[in-house]
Amino acid sequence: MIEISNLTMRYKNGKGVGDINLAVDNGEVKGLLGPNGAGKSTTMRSLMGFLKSSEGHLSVEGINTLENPVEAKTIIGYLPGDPQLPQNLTSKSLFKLGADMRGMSIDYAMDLAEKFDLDVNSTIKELSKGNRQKAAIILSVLHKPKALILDEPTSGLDPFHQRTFFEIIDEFKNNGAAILLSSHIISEIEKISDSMAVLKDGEKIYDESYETFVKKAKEDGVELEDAFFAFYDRSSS
Amino acid sequence: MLSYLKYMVSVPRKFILNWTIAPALYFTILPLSFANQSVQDLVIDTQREAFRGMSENDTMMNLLGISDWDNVFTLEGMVTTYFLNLFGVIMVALATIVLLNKMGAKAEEDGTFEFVASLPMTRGTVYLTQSVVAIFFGLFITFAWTNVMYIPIATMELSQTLDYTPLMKSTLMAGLAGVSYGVLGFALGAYTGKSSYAWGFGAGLMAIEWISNSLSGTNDLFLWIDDNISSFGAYGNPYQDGLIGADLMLVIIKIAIFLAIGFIGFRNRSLNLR
Repeated sequence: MIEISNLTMRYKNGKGVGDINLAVDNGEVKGLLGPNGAGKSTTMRSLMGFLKSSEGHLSVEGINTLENPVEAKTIIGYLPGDPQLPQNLTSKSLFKLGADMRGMSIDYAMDLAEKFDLDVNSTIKELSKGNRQKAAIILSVLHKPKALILDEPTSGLDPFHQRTFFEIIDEFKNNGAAILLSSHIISEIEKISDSMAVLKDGEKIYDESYETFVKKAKEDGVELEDAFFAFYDRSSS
Repeated sequence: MLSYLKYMVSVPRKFILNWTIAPALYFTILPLSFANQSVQDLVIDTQREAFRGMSENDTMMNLLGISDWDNVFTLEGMVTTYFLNLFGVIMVALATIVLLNKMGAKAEEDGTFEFVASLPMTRGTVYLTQSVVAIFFGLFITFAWTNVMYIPIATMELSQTLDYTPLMKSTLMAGLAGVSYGVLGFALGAYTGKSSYAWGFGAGLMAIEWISNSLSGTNDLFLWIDDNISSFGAYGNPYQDGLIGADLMLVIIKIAIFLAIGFIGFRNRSLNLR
C-alpha cells in the first residue's frame, strides 16, 4: 500500500504541493492526473525522498520512505517523468548493473525486453525515444517491486508497446502491487486505472474511483475527455 | 556499495581510460627527450636558449614556481618541478572535478542521477562511494602517468635518469594535492547539487593557491596561505626530501574537511533534478 498523508513541499519560488493525501491499496492502480506543473512529479519525487518535504508522512507497505529509504526503495519501482540513462551503456549492461545493485538476476528484465521488442545490445544513445522509455520501464520493474511509482510511463511509447506496458501493469496489479501512475490524459488512465486523483496547482481536487467519474460523465451526456476538462476548469484548487 | 562502485566506474569508463592513457603518452616525451644527445640538443638545449630571457623575468619565474632555471632542463627538474609540482596537479584536479561532476552534481542536473537515487542506497552510501572514487581516481591517474613515464627511464639508456621510489613519493604528493582541489569541487557540487559550484570552488581554490605559491615571496598574505593551507605549498620537494608527515597531514585534513562539508549538504537537501 502507498500512503501519502498531509504532504506539503514548496520550492523556493513558492510552487510545489500542499496538503496532499493519497492512498493506493495493494492490487489497485491509481492514476494521478493533472497538467504540467500541477504537482504530479513533485508528489512522486517527495514520496521517493528526492525532495525534502516540509510536512507529511509518506510510506509504502508501512515503511516510511524518508526514515527508511533503503528498505522502502527495495520494494519500490520508480520511473522518472523524463528518464535519462547513461548514454554509453547498452540496455543489457544497464539491466545487469541495475539487477546487481538490487541483488537480482537479469532474467526478468530480459523477458520484458523480449516482450517490448527491445534491442538490448544497442547503447542507450543509439535507441529512439520510445525504446529508451522501454529500457527505463524495464529498469524500474526488474526487481518485481511491491509498489510502482510511474511518472508518465507511456510517454514516447507507440500504441503497440503501450498495450504491452498495460499488460505488464496488469500482471503487477494481479500480483498485489500498489501502483501510482501519472498522466496528462484521462483516456490513458481509463485503460488501466481503478481510481484517479486529480491535482491542480499543487492541490488535490479529486480522488475517487474511476467509475464514479465515468458515471457522472454519462449522466451529464458528455464525452469523458470533455467532462474532465469541464470539471478541471470549474474546480478551484 | 560495491555494485554502485562498479556503476561509477562502468558509466564513465571511456573518460577514465582517456584520462589515464592520453596524458601518460604525452608525458612520456619528458624522459624521451633525454633519449640521446641529438634529441637532447634539439628538445632541451635549444629550448633552454630560446627561453633564456624568461629566466630574467621574475614574475614569469614566480608564476611557474621556478627557483632554479637550469634545473628545469634536467630530467629531475622537468618531472618534479614542471610536471608533478604544477601541471600534473592541475590536470588531476580538473579530471577529478569533471569525473565527479559527471556522476554527481551534473548528473543531478541532466537527470541521470534520478536512476541512482531510486536504488536502495542511503545518501551516505552514495556519497561515500563517490568520495572513494574521487580520491582513488585522482591518485590512480597520477600514478599511471608517472609509471608509464618511467618505462623509458627503466628500459632505455637515457642521458639522465630518475630513481623510482623518490619519484613515487613525489607522485603521491602531487596526486593528493590534485585530489584536494578535485574533492573540494566534488564536495561543493554535492552540497549544492550545482555543477558550477564544483568548478567555481574547486578550480577557484586551485587558482588562488597556485598564485599564492608563485607569489609567496612578494606578499605576506600569499606567504601565509602558501605556508599554512596551500596544497601546492605543502608539496615541497619529496623527490629530494622524502615524504614529510606534516605536509601529508595538511592535504589529508583538507580532503577530509571538504568531504565532510559535502556530506552534510548532500544528506540534507532536495536533489536538484530537472
